[in-house]
Amino acid sequence: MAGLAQASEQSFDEVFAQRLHRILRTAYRILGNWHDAEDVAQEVFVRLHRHGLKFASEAAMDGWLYRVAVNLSLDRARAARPQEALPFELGTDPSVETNLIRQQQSERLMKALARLPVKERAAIVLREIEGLSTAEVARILGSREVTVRSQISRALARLRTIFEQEQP
Amino acid sequence: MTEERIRELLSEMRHEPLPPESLARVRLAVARRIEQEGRMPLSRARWRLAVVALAMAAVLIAVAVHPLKHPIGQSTGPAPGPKPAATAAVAAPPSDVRAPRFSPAPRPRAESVRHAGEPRPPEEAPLIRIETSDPDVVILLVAEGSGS
Repeated sequence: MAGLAQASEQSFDEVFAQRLHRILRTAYRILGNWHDAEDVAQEVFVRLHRHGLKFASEAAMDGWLYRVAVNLSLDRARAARPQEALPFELGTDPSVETNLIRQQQSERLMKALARLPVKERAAIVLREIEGLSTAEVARILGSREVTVRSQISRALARLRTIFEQEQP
Repeated sequence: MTEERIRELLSEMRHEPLPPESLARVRLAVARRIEQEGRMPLSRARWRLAVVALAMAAVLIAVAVHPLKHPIGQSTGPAPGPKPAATAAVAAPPSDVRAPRFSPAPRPRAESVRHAGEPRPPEEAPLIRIETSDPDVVILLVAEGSGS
């Protein structure tokens, strides 16, 4: 009941401001382009507004948001081939060289992610980038935990193979 | 590259900043769509009212074109007969004490709601008048209302 009261006390604007980054980032990592990611994030929050903020807890609301975002992203990813990733904006690191290396690695990783099957991509984005537990990822994807573990293991192996193939 | 290094790189991606113009576009689009959807219920309500008005007009036209065979309020059955008059049996009075004469039965009244503890008006209480052999002695009994 305390969780319900806590979730209900938040206004839509607060929830939107707090969760926009997470949802947009997740959609971008799955889809690989900002244009589609923006569309997905927009749709997620419009649906949240229609649904209302009556969730049993904040965790339940986060799970709902991720689930809608991932499902919309998977639908889009299946419908269209991933476009080329846009260059990523960098932070304010003092070293330009460090920034350049990070940018290259990030771009390589994004390209490698785009080559994964969509379900594996979604699993690895939620588990490794968003830092959710395997149980949470399983709930969001509507799979069993053992399936998620297997998807992540396969995805990591594939990524390693992709990086090895790119090595000169 | 090892799997551990890949995991580290993926984890670092969480902290990478998002393009501000992308965030701004989403904020703007969400605000616009929510505002649009906020206007929708009013137009839907107008449509519903229009449909209800049309349905009522259709019913009125149908009644005007095909009037009812038996107008409402007209009874086709026999008229009810007069109610039998209530008769009261009066026992023969004893020689020395006259039979108690009851006051006439109160007329049926519409039931009214009375609160508990509220005193009954005196004219509503049944009054029993007993006349004794002594013409100067008359016993008056006022029955307390029991509700039955």
